[in-house]
Amino acid sequence: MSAPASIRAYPPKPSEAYVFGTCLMDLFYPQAGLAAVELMEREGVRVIFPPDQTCCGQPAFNSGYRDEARRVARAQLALFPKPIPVVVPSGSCGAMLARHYPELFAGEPDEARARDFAARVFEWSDFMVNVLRVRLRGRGAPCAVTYHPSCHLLRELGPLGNGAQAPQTLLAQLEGVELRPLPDAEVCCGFGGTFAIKQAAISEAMVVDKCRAVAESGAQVLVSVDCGCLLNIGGALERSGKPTAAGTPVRVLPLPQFVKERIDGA
Amino acid sequence: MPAPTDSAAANAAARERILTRLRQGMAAVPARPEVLELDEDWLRRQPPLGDPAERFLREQQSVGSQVLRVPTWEALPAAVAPWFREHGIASAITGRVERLTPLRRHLAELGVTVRTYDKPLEQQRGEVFGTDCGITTSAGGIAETGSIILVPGPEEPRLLSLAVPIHLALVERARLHATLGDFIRSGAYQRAVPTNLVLVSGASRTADIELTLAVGVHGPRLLLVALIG
Amino acid sequence: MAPDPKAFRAESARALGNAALRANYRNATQRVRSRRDERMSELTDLPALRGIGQAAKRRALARLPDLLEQLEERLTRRGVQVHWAETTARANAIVLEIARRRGARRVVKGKSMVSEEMELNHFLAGHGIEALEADLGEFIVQLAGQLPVHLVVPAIHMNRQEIARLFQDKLAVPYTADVQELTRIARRVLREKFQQADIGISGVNFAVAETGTLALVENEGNGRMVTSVPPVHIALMGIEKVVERLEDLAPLVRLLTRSATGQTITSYFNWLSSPRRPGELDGPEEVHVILLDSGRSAIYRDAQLRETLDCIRCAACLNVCPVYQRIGGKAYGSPYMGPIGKILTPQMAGLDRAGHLAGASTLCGACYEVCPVQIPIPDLLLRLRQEASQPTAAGRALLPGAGGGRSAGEALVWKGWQVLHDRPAAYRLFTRLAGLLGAVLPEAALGAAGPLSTWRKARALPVPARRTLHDLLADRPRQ
Repeated sequence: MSAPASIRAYPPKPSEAYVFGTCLMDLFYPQAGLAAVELMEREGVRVIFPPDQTCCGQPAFNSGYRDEARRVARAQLALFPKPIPVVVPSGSCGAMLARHYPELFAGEPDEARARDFAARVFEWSDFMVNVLRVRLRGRGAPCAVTYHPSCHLLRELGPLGNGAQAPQTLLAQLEGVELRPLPDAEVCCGFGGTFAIKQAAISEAMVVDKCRAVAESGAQVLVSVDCGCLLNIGGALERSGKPTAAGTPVRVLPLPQFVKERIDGA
Repeated sequence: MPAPTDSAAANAAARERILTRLRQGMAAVPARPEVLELDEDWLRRQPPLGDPAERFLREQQSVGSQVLRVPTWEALPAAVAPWFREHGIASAITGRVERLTPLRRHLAELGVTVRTYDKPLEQQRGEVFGTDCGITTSAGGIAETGSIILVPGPEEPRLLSLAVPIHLALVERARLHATLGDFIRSGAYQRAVPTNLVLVSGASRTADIELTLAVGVHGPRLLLVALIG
Repeated sequence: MAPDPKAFRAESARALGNAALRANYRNATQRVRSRRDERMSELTDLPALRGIGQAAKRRALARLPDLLEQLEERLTRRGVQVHWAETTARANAIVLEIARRRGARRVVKGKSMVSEEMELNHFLAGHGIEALEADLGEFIVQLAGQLPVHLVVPAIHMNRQEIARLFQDKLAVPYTADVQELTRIARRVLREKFQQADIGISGVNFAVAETGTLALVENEGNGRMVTSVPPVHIALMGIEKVVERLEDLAPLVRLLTRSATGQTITSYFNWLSSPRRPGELDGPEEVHVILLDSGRSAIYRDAQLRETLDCIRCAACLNVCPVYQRIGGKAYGSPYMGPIGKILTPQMAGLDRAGHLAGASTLCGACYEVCPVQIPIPDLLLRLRQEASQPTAAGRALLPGAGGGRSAGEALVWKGWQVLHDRPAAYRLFTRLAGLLGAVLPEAALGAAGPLSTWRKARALPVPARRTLHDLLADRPRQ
């Protein structure tokens, strides 16, 4: 298992698509998940959200417990049978599904099904930009935003297609939104799943640097496509209690939620 | 001197065990078809090299070497003499190279002590390690990286270009290759594998202290290059 | 090689708390990174070049036993003595045998990671043989009684004032923090040593099977010195260093020097093939090559793990790693540190002793992005994590200490996690409970103990939503 084989082709705009919400978004950013679904529906896509879905299995997989990860992954596989795209509002979960499921099921009876599934997985902003080809219109007061690219989107999932820059493309479409560069944007925020607990001191050092970068950007809002990153950076910003130049704390949001706010002028 | 017998047996046994394990590995892992582009084809897509002589000299200069273009071997002594004055070079050493006789004579006339590296190192340490400037010819050069191809041998030993604080290298323009790949593909090395070949692309340098450049660590601190022809 | 989880934690904590040390690492790695980036940006189609380099390594590895035999044949024909060592202990013994036969008391060394793996200096000292490092960075750490902390810049963690004080103490010279002056001092000291040495020891960057050539890459000239001045030269190399053809050197050295130091080429690229021939006036009378296995043949037997052996030791991965930059090289307890160290060390020292290294990564992938031969380090880390806790049959057969990183407590946690997530009803219950607790308990209570309290040291605890995404979508009127 090494480099992605080739750049994948994007399907034409489908009439329906699945959404895999991810466990972190389900539990901590449900409004963002709702926004992701609604924005797809506004483009004329019928969204199917299988209610029995839980988690992609990444936490156990990353810790080396593949048997447990596979059991959970197998349960997810059964829920997305139709040959339609599976849209995931998360770079790391998307990478798990699209890149690691084939590996996880290698040699298993359902390997073919896992491969077929993996080939249909798209990160949400990638899907919006490269499959739905959206042209968004933003409203509302000017807003300075900075974007933290999640490592998994940037280096794992994005390079599979053309998706690494999709979030920035969406943000650029929104009037009134000023995208401020994030210093050292591509440096990891230090979440790494259980790394934040198991190697807490190192993780802390990394998130502290990321918070400093956010402050330096001068932005009022931080967006990302990974809930893990957001919980990590958002939690650290909150703990440090430092307001922005405007005197307000930085808002930390998943991309779909921010996009919907700007479109609706909220 | 061959190693003692029991060691030879241990060596043979280790060799067998290692190779056996590796053969098992070779059998276990199917060879991937390596579709690959050749280095030559990739090279063709690179920005053009420009004139090889100019590129060669520019690369050398970019790392602090001093360079000169000299039209002929005859013009060489007069052309490089100013360097000896500029750098206060009081002594020079060459190998036994017929071609360098005019240069040696000229330098001697200028008052430079000219020595010959013509005895084994063990008998000539003082001179080899105690001379200001070593002068060598070369087997050519590589334009892309500004590298001088040295093939030390009986006539021009290795330390001529290493033990001295200043190295004067004489390179013939006609023997420049565009890239290392081109030089290798010319087959010269493979036809008669020498004891030693060195590509010299600058003075001895290091950045081991705070990533700050310093020269003349163990080899020459200054490289002088005369491109002839 | 002495990796140890407790030492890792202690040394990481020490490094994280040392602002000056962190600044040294941060500045130095940043410098090398930008030089590397500059050099790479001069090339058209870097991805293709990385592919060519990777293919050259893979081609060689695919025929490794054949190429080693070919290399041996070519070298032996020209009078080089080739030795095979399965372990570092045996390699040390071979060096000692040679030294004893020659009555050698002094050894001078060029840069060799394999010699660090062997802990050769320590071994020789135990037998009354002085081994002096001649590479400036190695010389500095040796004087300081330390081990190298970086594959290419051994003293990257020290600033010039520290080095100045070190030279003043150990070499009895006046204090000077001028880099060129410090270099002159080292030159003076080492010049004598080259001439007094009985044996010169070097590493090998690439060994060409086609021609029987040992190729060494360097800037300082100490490599040329140790392979030319002493009467005996011993070259130490891992068996994975062999390449098939001379032509393979072109793309590989191009990638190596740009990745490692941001140079188009190093000052010296040195090709050796035999001892001093009749008529030649310098060069060693005796040349030996020691081929070291030490776990490599086991790694070789696994299709995925074999990619570990593609490494050309450029250290670009160290320079981009956010973990390495913050904890430094010492914490790894191994001559191989940083991302490559995290996959190599556990495979050599055992997953029981060094499995923790495979876990000390966020899998950000910056290493993979920069690796000149495209080693998929994050994937290999994931594989090693699996082999540490839930080994495969292949892993158990090949990797020392497979399963040795498994903790009963953690296994239980993942079992529990699985039970909650492979049944929708259990999951729903869990999220309902979390939402309720989140609404009812203050953050401080939630984060009182266990993993949540670790999180809470640096970050506010996220509050689980009362209504999850499942709930919000279920609540919507039917479309």
